[in-house]
Amino acid sequence: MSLSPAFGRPLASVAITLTGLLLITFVIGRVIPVDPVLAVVGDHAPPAVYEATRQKMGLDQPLWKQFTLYIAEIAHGNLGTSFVTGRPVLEDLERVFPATVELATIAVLFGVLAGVPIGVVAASHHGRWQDHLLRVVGIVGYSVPVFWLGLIALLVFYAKLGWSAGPGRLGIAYDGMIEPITGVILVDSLLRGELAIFRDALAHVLLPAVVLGYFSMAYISRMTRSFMLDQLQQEYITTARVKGMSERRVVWTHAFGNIRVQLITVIALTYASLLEGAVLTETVFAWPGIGQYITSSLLSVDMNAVLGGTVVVGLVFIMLNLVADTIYGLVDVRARRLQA
Amino acid sequence: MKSGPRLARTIRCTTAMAGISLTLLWSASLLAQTPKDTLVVAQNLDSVLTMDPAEALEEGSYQFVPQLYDSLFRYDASADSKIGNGIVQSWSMSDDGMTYRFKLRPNARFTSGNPVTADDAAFSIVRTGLLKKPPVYVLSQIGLTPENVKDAVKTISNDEFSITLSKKYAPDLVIAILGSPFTGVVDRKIVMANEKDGDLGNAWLRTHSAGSGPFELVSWKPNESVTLKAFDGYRAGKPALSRIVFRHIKEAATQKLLLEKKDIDIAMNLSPDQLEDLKSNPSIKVQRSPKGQLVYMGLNQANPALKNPKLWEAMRYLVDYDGIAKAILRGQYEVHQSFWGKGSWAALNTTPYKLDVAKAKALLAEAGLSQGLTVDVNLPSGFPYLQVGQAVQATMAQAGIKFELSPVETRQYITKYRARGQTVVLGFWGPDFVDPQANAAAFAFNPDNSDASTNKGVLAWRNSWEIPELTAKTMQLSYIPDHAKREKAYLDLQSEIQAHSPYIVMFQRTNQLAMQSNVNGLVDGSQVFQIYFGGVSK
Repeated sequence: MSLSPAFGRPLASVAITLTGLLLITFVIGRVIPVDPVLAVVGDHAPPAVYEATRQKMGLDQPLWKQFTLYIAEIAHGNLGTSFVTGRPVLEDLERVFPATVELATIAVLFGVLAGVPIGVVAASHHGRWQDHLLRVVGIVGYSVPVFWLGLIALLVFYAKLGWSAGPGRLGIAYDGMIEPITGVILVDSLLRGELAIFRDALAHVLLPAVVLGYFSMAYISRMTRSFMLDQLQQEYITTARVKGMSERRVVWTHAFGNIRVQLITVIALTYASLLEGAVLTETVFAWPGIGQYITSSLLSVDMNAVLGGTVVVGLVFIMLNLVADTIYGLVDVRARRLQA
Repeated sequence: MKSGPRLARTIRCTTAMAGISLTLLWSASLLAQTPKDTLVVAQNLDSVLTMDPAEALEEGSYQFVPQLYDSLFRYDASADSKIGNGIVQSWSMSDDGMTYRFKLRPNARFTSGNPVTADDAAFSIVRTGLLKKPPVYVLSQIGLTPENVKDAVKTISNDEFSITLSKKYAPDLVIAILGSPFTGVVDRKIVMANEKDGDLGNAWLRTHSAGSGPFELVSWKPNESVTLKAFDGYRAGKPALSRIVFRHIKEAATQKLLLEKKDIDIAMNLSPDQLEDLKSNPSIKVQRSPKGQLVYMGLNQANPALKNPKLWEAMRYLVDYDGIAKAILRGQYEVHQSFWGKGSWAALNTTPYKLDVAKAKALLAEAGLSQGLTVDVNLPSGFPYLQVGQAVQATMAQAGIKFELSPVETRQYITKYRARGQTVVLGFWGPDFVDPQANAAAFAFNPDNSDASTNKGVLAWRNSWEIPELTAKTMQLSYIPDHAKREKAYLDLQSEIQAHSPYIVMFQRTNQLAMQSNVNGLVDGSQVFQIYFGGVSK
C-alpha cells in the first residue's frame, strides 16, 4: 500500500495552509505603520546604530526576499530569534505554549462537562423554565466581556472570599522550583512527585480556567441545544416514544447518540480557539501564555516572534481537525465505512 | 447502544469529582504572604529588552542594570541627590582638563569571585563603544566614539585607569556621563569566555549577569518574570533580602488586588484612581519621587501656520496646567514648564504660564490668527497623553484652535515623529544621563535641519526648528568648567526656551510606588536608572 494518497494530500494541504497563513501575517507585519528597528534600539539611538540594526534585521532586503529567507528557515525547523530580546523564538514558545495548553485544556473540560448537559437539558425541556433559565446563563456567558468577568472573579473569589489563589501560574514560594519536562506544571509536578506544587498550580489555574471555560460553556451549550432540538423533532424519536421507551433513553441514547459527530466538531473548534491563547484572560490573570506573547510581540513589531506564534496556532488548528476526523471514525459507523 | 447513558454517567461522575476537589481546595487555607527573605514586585515588564549594560538605554532594561552592576559613579541619596562615587573611590583631572584618572575601591569582587580590576572597568567602557549599541549616543556626548574609545581608555595599574578626551569638557558632564548604567563594570574574563562571533559577549550578557552589583541574575523569562538573587560578597555588604522576584503583571487592577492581599510587596504601575483607593489602607504606603520625564507639546516648524512666535505664546496660555494636574494627573505628574526636571541640579522651577483665554485671544489677534486654526495632534494613546490631550483640546478650542487628536500606540507615535510626519505632538521626553546637557541637546540643538541629518533623535530636528545660533550656544555649555557658571547658563537657556520656542513643556512625572508598609530602604532617584533595591528590607 502506498502512503502517498493517504498522507501526501493532507501534508500538502498543511504546507499550503501554513504558507498562506505566514504570508498574510508577514505582510500585515510590514504594512503596520510602526518601525520595527525602533523596538530594538529605542527612540534615542544614533543613526549609525539604527542603520546597522536595520541591516542586521534584513529590513534593507526586498520584501519577497525577506519572506523566502524566512520560509527556508522554517522549513529547517528554525523559527529564528526574537528581534527584541534576541532569544530563540522556539525557546520562548516552549515556555508560553504549555502555559496556554494547561489553561485551555481545563477550560475546555469545564466547558464540555457543563455545556453539554446544560444543552441537553435545555433541549429536552424546550420552552419550559429550565430552558429559559439555562439560556440566560448562556447569554450572560456570551455577552459579558471576559476582561470584566475575570476582574470580578478575582475580586470576589481571590480578594474577598480567599477561595482561589491569585494571578500567575504558581505562588511565589514555588517560583522556578520545578524543572520543566512537558512545560505543563500540573503534569510536571505529578511526574516529579511534587504534590504541593501540583496543588498550588491547580489552585492557580482553576479560576482563570473557569472564567474562560464559562465562555466555551455558553457556546457548547447553545450548539448542543440546537443540535438536540433538531434531533428531537425527527420521526425516529416519535417512534421511540410511541414504542414506550423511557424519555431518558430517548434523549440520551437516541437523540444524543446522533449529535456526537457535530458536537465533536464544535468542541474541537472551541478547544482550538482556546489554544490560540486568550489575551484578555491571560492579561488579567497574569498568565504567561501564547496569547500575551503574540500580542506583545506584535505591538513591538517583533515579527519573528509573531510568525513563530502563528505557526504554532496554525499547526494546532490543523492537528485538531485531524484529531476530530479520527474521532468521527470512532463514534460514527458511516464515517468509519467511508474512511475504510 | 449503551454509549448515551454511559456518557451521561461519566459526565455525572466527573462533575462530582471536580466538585469534591474544588471543595478540598477551597477548604485548604490559601496563604497569601510573600516569603520573608524575598521581595516580590509586580510590574509591567513588556519593555525589558536586555540585561547587558552596554546595550540598555530604555526604561524597562535600565532598571535592572544598577542592581546587577556597579557603575563608576552613581546617584547618592544621602548626598542631596548628587552623583557620588560608585565603584570609583577617587578621581583626578589633569591640568589640561582632558585626562581623567580613576582609582577603584579595593576588595570589590564579581559574583564569579574574580576581583574587580581597573582593566575590567576600562574594558567595560571600551566594550560599550565597540558594541555600537544605543548607549554609544551617551558616550558621544564627551567625544568618545567607536573609533577612538580604545585609544582614549587606558589601564594604568591593577586599580587605576584613565580616560583621555579630545576636548576640555565640563567635569560635571564627564562624571554624569560616567554615572550612566553603561559604565557598569563587567567581569572581563567571564564575558570573553562567552563571546560568540566577535560579539564581546553581548548575546550571553543579554540574559545573564557578570557584575559586582548587590544582586545577580537568576532568570529572565520575557513577559513572565525576572528573578535576582543577593550577592553575598557585595562590596557594601550583603543585601538584606536574599531574592527579588519581579513578576510581569500587566494589568494595574490585578497589581492592586495582589498588593491588597499581600501577595506582592511593591506595585509599580498603579493609576491615580487606584492609589487614591489605597489611601485608606493602613498597611500600604506610597513612595513618591520626581522623575526626569516630561510631558510636552511640540509644534512642527515645517508647517508655516505654526511658525509665528505669538502663536507659540498664545498656546502656552491655553493649557489649564493646574486643573489638569489636579483632576487628571493627581500626583502622577506635577506642573513643570522648563526642559530640565526638578530633582536634579540646574532645574528651572518657575511656572509663569496659567490658563488665560483672553490673553491668548489677544496674542492670536496680534499674530493675525483670530479666525483660529485646525491642527492634527500626534500622541500616544496611553495614560496620561490622551487624557491630557482631551483637556488641552477643550481649552484650545476656547480661542479657536481646533485640536484633532490622533492617538496611536506608542511605537507608532515615535515612528511618525522620527519621520517628521506630525503637525503637533503631545508626548514625552526623558533624559539619557543626569546632566542638563542631556535635555539641552534635545530641545535646543539642531546642527543640521535637513532630512539627511544624523541627529534625528533630537527634538529640535523632529520639530524642524532651525536654530543655528542656539545650537552653537548649547554646544558651548558642555565646556564651561565652573559649576556655578554652568548652572547659571542652563537656567538662562531654560528661561529662553520657556518663553521663545515651539515647545510647551507642561508636566513632570512623579514615580508613585505603592508598597506594604513594612518595606523600607528603596532608593528611587530622579532618573529611571536610579532605582536601587540593594538596601531594601521588610
